[in-house]
Amino acid sequence: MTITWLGGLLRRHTGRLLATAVGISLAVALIAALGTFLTASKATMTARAVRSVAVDWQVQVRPGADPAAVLNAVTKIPGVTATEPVGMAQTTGLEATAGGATQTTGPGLVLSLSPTYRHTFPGEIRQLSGSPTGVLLAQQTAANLHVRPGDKVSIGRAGAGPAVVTVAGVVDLPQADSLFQKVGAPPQSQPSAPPDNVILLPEATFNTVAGQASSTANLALTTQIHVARGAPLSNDPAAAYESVIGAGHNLEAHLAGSALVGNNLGAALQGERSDALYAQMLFLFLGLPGAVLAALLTAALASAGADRRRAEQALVRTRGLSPRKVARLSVVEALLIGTAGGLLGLGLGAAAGRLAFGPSPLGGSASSTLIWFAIAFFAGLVIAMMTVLVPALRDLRRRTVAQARHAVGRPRTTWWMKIGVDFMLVAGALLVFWASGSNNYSLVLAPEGVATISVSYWAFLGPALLWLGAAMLLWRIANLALTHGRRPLARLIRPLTGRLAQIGAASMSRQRRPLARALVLLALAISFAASTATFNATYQQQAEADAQLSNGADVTVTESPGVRVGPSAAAGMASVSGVRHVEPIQHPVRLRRGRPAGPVWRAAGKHHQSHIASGRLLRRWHRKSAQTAVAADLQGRLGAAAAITNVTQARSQVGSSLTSVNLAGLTRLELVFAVLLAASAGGIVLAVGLAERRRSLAIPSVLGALRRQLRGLALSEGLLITVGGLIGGGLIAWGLSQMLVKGPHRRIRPAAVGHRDPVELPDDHRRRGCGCPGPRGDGQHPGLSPPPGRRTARPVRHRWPTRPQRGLRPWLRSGS
Amino acid sequence: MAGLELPTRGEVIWPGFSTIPAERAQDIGVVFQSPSLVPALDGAENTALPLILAGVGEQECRDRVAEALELVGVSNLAAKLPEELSGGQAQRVAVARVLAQRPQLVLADEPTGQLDHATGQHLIDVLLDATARIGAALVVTTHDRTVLERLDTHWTMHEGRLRSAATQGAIS
Repeated sequence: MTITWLGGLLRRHTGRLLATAVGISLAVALIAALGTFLTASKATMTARAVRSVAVDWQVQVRPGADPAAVLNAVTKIPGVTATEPVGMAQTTGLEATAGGATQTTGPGLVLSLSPTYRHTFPGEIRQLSGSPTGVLLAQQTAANLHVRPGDKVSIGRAGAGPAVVTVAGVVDLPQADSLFQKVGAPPQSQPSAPPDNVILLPEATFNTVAGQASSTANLALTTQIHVARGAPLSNDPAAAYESVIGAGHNLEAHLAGSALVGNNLGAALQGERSDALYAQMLFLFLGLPGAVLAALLTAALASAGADRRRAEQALVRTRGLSPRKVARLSVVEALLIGTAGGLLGLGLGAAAGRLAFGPSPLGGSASSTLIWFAIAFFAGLVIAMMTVLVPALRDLRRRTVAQARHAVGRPRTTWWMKIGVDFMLVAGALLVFWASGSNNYSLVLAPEGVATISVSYWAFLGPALLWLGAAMLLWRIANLALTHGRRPLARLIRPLTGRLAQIGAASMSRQRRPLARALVLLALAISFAASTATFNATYQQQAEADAQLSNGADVTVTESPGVRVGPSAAAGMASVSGVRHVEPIQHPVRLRRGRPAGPVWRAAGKHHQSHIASGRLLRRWHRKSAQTAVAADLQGRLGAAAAITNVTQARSQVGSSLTSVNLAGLTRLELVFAVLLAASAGGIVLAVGLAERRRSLAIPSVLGALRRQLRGLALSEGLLITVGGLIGGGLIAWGLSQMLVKGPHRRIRPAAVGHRDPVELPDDHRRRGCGCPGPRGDGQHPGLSPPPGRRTARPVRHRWPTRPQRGLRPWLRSGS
Repeated sequence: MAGLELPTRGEVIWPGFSTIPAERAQDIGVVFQSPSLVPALDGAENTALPLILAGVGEQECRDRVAEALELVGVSNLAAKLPEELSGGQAQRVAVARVLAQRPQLVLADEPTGQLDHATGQHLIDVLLDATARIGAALVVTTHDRTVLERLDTHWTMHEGRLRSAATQGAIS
């Protein structure tokens, strides 16, 4: 019986089965694609955090403890792959004579490096000029002292005479903030900036310099063990963070108080874990509504054939089949549809992922992809059961055979309309929005140093309630309009249906339930597409603006110390193809000419450009695609010593990990699904509905209706759904966007929206004495103007970054 | 015969009617064996459907619908949806739809096929009475001898071929 039934279904109801399977496949594909994206994003974030750290742990030996014993103990810790001891000593100051002038700095730090250090930790030191071995001077120190490789520098030692060394090279310390951290101190006790005066000595030289001094005075010598770890980490940043922090604490306990652990890897993962939660939120915010929508669509498609199914059920029941056996047939039908839809959805998900994220299927590992595909397939089966089996069982239980044979019922007011659930939901949305916006909540809370992270799911309640409430309200309005608006409807469809306008309007009024359902589904799909597109556009524009604010221009060129930058340099750069404008900016030069007190900040004007220690040239152009090419061109002209950064690089450093992962791909993915859902909501629901009502259309044909008139009837229904769905969807999307973007407390801070080309510098940048030619009378940098409609440059929170600045994380943050 | 299907060979000619099926649609009314009402329209709207298609004016249409429903005794079913009607009631509304059209010929295809005996007999009464009142010819196909006995002339078909014709009283 089951086989016969299945065969009959496949032969006779191929279209309806296929349409229902397509609905399920959309839900499956969306869950599979977004789930894999989520896992892949988290893995990328973890990898990014690990890559961003040059030294995983800095183990500082406590005074009185034996450095060799600590080194030995650390080396034996499982997961530790390399260790390097680093000595640190204080200097009273550095002094150098160049060009007849003597420059002297304030107190600084002397570091000891083993010969293998740079090989073990290549990211810690970046060579700018001279030799990679020997005495190395930090870039800022070299600028302060006006020295070049080959010059001599005197290291001041308290209680001992100065030691003179010859500078072999100048280096940049990209991770100076973590390198010079106060190990074991809480974040608020960390120094606000790394030391300006740093000299790096080979181990032997350091021992000589520090050893001589320590024989006559206590120079506060400290030893750190820099550690590289190779222990496998979880793909989830939160789990990786907990694992790394736990390992650090274990190490401290193992060392029994003889050393403190500076956990750089943990610090890097700490930021990423909140990004991972944002990714999870993104998944919920963007994926869940889509999956719900696809499930609703499936339910609509399944219910389009419900009348026929009921009639068939009634038929087999009258032939003596027991309700249990009829239920079994429904189970088989649901399984068939769920399996077909699931398999189709997995293929669709893989294809959509490939389209959105490129050849690597969603960027995820094979195991995570398989897990998410399994989850999505299971979800497809559940949707099939809910939309095909449950209604069938309900009919079986509640309806008599005679009732089941009826095709069209007189629509009754549903329970939720009677008690006004739609109004309650909309009111609830506004209430939650107002309440959540007024208490300065934070969507994701990841306190520094605390393993626990939390998410304010309340943030989703407002939009979710609005989405549902507005959809139900639209249903009510459509229902009312179709019930009481027959005459206007007849007038509207008369051009299409001619004489059949009144009859068409009456028919549509009686069919208002499926029509309103299709209309609301279309509106939901459109609002889903529009609100997610708005969200993503806002997010991306904000990230773009953040990157431009941080980079200062589309491309920034920073010359090495000692390189003399004259006015002609700007002209040379301006000649590069693609460059629209070049603006020279000068950085501060800390000079001391035998003066007794602290540093003197001098920002040189344009006429003093020959004295610029560090030159920054701001470049702008219209086409972002040219950035990389121009940066490469400039690098070729200026050599490897010039540091050239562009906005794309800055975005990956400044923006959240989500931005750097692949938000553009996610947007494409969502839009693909939104379009598919919208098309299905409008097209398939209507087509299946019409197919199920073929007989209804055949009767007027027999009675003499022309093909044109029948086409007009079908077209009228399509137009009603399309126009109603577009208007309703647009209004819902507008409401959601207002709630997400332009609310009174701005969950997404949209400052960048509409300002795609803001070349601004943060206020703090000016306050910190960046060395730019100085504020003009209007408080702006010369050559830089605020974007239209903005009176001042946009303020940016600025702190000494232990990791890239994240002050502009845009998503759903309020009270910032 | 109604022009719903094209003949494989030859042509169907009705004396006095156009040879073009679309033109003679208003002269021929069809009562089907199975329920033939549009589920989304009520009794009055279903009855009015052929009139609207023929371009009959609104007032005249209303009058003719009321008259037709009255003729078959289902005026009380004007606002009912097909699913709210019994089989016999639905067939009577279908007959009213045909009569409202005021055809010259009514073709009834097994009109009592899905009805019980009493309801079937009543429907035949209605059909005969109504067609007599509007002066239309009635052609009925049936397997029911009790229906056959009510009609003046009958033809027998066997395997698609007309075998015999007889007038009332000659039926054995």
